Amino acid sequence: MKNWWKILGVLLVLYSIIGGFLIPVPAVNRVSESIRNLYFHVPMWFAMIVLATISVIYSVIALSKSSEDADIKSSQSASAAIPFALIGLITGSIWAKFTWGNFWTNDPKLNGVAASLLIYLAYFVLRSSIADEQKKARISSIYNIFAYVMMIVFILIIPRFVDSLHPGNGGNMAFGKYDLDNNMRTVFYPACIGWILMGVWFTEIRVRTEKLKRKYLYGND
Amino acid sequence: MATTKYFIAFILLIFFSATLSAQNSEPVEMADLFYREGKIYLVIAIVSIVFGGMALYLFLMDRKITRIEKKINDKYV
Repeated sequence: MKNWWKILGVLLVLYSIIGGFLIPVPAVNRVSESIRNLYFHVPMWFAMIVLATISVIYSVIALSKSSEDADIKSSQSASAAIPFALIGLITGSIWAKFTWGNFWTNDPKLNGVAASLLIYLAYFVLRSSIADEQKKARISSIYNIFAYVMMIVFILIIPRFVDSLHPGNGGNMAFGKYDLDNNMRTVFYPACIGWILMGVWFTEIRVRTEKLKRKYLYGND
Repeated sequence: MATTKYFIAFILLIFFSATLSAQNSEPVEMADLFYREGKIYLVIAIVSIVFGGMALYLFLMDRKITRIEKKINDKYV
């Protein structure tokens, strides 16, 4: 059974849905029951960052070995990361409205995510604007490495140095605060792993269809 | 004599700090009633079925791609 990890991903997410609603959460002012969003909103970002990391690793491989296979994996995993970012942004926006009071706050993490989303959209524009496959692979791989570095700087590094409403940034409480509650940990970590596996599965499907497409278009190579 | 005085002051301080922290923690409004009614199980059942259905659909698509892969590979190899 080589698809065991797909089933594992589905089961972990299912577990996080059941446990996420049932397991008691600490009573914290203003956040209250909405802390359960942690099981659903935050794993989106974990999945997105993992997919972007996979993408950049394959970009380096594509550059060093000029392999078409690595280029397909790199580009498809980058595009599988986008829906996670969008869903994370929308869910975060709704959560922000009810706990911070506004759909869009001037939080550095929000603006950083918006900026990195634009950087990644430019990556797809760049890819679709080059017709020659080898040139496309090389130029977009180089761009992808820069995009990844900018994304990490925007959403993981800068928010730690300036005031942010997000946990673990500026003067705010960190994940350690939640981690004190071991109940939440037992749901949060499986949820992250589950969604990461789902993201890898989406990538795999995209890679396979892209390969089929190329085989159909260019024949046996 | 001096030590007993400090000791009493210390105990009093601890007492005050305890009452202060008790004053700070107002009861946070949680959805206790909602959970007591037990209807949350219904919601969990529905959400699980929705997600399970989507996952099943994804599995079926995955299998379909596998079949197409086999067909195309037979054709070109």
